[in-house]
Amino acid sequence: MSDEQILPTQLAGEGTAFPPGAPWQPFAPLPTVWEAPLRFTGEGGEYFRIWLVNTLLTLLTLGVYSPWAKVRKARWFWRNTQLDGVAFQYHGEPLAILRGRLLALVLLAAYSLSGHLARAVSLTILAALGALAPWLFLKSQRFKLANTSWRGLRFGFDSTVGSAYSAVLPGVLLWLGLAAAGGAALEHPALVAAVGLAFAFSVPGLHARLKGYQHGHARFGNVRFELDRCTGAFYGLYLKAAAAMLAVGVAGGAVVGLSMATRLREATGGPPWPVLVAGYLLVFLGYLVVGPFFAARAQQIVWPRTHGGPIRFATRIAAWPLLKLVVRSVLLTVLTLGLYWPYAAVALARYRIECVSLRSSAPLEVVAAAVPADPAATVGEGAMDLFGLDIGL
Amino acid sequence: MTAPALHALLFDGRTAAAVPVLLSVSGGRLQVADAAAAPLRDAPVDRLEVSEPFERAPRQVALGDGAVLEVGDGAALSALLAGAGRRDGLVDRLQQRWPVALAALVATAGLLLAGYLWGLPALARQVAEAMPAALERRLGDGVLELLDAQLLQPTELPVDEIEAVSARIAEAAALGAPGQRYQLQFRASRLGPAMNAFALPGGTVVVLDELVRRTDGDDRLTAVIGHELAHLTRRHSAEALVRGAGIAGLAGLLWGDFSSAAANLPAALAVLGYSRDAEREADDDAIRFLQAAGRPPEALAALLCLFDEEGRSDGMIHLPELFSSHPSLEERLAHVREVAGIEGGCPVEADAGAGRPDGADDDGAAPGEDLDAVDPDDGSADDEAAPDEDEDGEVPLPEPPEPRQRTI
Repeated sequence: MSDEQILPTQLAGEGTAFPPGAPWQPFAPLPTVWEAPLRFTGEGGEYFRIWLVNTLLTLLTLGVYSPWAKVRKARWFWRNTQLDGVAFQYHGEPLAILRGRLLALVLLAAYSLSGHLARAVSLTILAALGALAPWLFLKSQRFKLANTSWRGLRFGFDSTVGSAYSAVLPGVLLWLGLAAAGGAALEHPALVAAVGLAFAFSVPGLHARLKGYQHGHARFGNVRFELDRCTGAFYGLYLKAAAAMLAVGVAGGAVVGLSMATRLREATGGPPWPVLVAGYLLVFLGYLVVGPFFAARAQQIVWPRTHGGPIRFATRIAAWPLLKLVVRSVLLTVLTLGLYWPYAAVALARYRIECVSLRSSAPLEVVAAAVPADPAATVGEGAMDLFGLDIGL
Repeated sequence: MTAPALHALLFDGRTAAAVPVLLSVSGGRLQVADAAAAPLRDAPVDRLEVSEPFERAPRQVALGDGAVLEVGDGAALSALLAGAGRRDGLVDRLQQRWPVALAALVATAGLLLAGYLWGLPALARQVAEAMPAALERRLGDGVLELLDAQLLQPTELPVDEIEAVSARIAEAAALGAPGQRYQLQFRASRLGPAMNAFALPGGTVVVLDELVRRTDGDDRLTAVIGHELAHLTRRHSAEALVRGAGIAGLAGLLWGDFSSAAANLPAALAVLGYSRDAEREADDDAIRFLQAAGRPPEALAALLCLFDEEGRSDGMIHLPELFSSHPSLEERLAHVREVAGIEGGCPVEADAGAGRPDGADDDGAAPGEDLDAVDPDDGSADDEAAPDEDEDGEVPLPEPPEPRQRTI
């Protein structure tokens, strides 16, 4: 194949884009319509080793090493992701993440300690966190994207603080309102129900808004991405998910209720806990089934509506394969006391990544150019991580 | 002289365009040349930013001026740079080797086990001892406030009964646990009759009405107080707080990136394991307490029998011990009998709902107390709706670690 010219699509179709020792061929003139899937080259065994070694180092250092471990894992995932035969790169600085995590840890400790001692202090901290959440979200998005590159060009996240607040704050306020109302559940059930309903009705819209914010401010080099309106699609998705959850809840509740009724009729009753456990298990399995369906459909909504310059995205992610993968991952992870998790993480990443493909009416290398570098501040990433607010994708 | 050339792609950092290049090292510098061997760039090898070797991922080399090389053959790159005296990092090499990874697995398991068995309990003891009494009291007050708001209501016992019971307990405590400050609080449960008592950090012992009624306030109640005072003396609440935080942090480090829900389950099980150990300690102390106070240790066994009976007549949901905050009643009974040298079993009929023994006398120590006027239907279904208030050892679901009251 020494004189053959390799088309990017052919190149990307091969398992490994870099056969060791093979000479690099100059690319052919690119077709006007260009299409390439994302490829994932990593294998579970290698990630298993990385995970074990880095977990041990994290334990030995009482957690101080964890940002380094996180960065190593992120580098492995990004560098094993290829588009058009070229790998992505992750540049996150462990020290920056450590700073963010320390700050988050201090806040968390202050919050949980004051929760036992001074309610007012803990509420103040909570309010401050809520007020800062949109800014933190902006920071974490910027950190993630500005530290990712492909073909020597960085991604980026261009957003003003104002648009971060307009996209994220409504959701935060509603969530805080729900939490506050939950505390008064016994005294004011009607109030709680009202806040709950308001929450339920606005969540799909807020989710769409958040996605629009995430995708709409991302860029690669100087190519800015956009997300077309998808509020209606999100309402449809949430409606279906809610119906499915309701069905599962009713089925689970019926099993539990039936066992209770049986026990009451028999007055003394044997130990009905296996039936109870079966009920809970049913509900858990319901979540397990509905979750992947939801995730797959959400991706189907978002990716085809994302575009930037001449570039469009597509995904062939489907609910059933994702569901099978998730069930398998959860089962094997639990059965192996967590040891299967690295393999599961790789299998899930491979599926999600390889479902996505790019289409462009002009070659990417012509489309994109660098914009002046912007050193990303990093409090956001660590803080988001520790508070479990990382929203992903 | 130069080493054999290595193929790579050069990205200049300003556009997305790729230039196929050849790499070589000479004079401590990485030389980048195009396909026609014309030199394009060069950079000192010790200044390069080189990404670590992975099995199947290409490696990147940042030249320091914004330009990046992408190299398909990672092993050849290592060899090329090694020729110029630059080796891959230690962790980079370790994480590529199976024997190292498996050794890390064994070491991790060993560390976790040692931390669970010795490290965390020792740390918890230190912190609990250093915790100021005022802080403990505030914690306990906070918990009682919360319980009063949600689960408890004022006692319905007559004042003279409370006074009599308190005096009996004070007499025993002066001998059994001298120097241990405590304050009794009598409460009724809002969620149906609950036979229980618990110690809060700072010295408050909450006794529920149902327990006083069912034990007649006799030595069985004294045994309960001995058990709760042991929790106070050993500062089990403060220890549980520290251990809970430690376990939660550890679980988050280990499994946090899998799922926080998944991280909570092992954490909850570990905390329950500690809790069962604390209960065993408190039972042992309660026997010593009774002996020092000149009361029969059989009272503790009789108390456990009472709980056992209650559980049976209730049709309580018995979860496997793994999911319980207390050891099983069978185990506790057997242990107490062994330590106190008591023979025999509980006076429980096979059918707990089959009426009540009449006219049995009621010296508290003897395993033959009657059930008083307690209706067997009392422990009705609404009992089960109260996960926080249920009797001895029945916890419907593991709860996340938090400062918790000790229940008998």
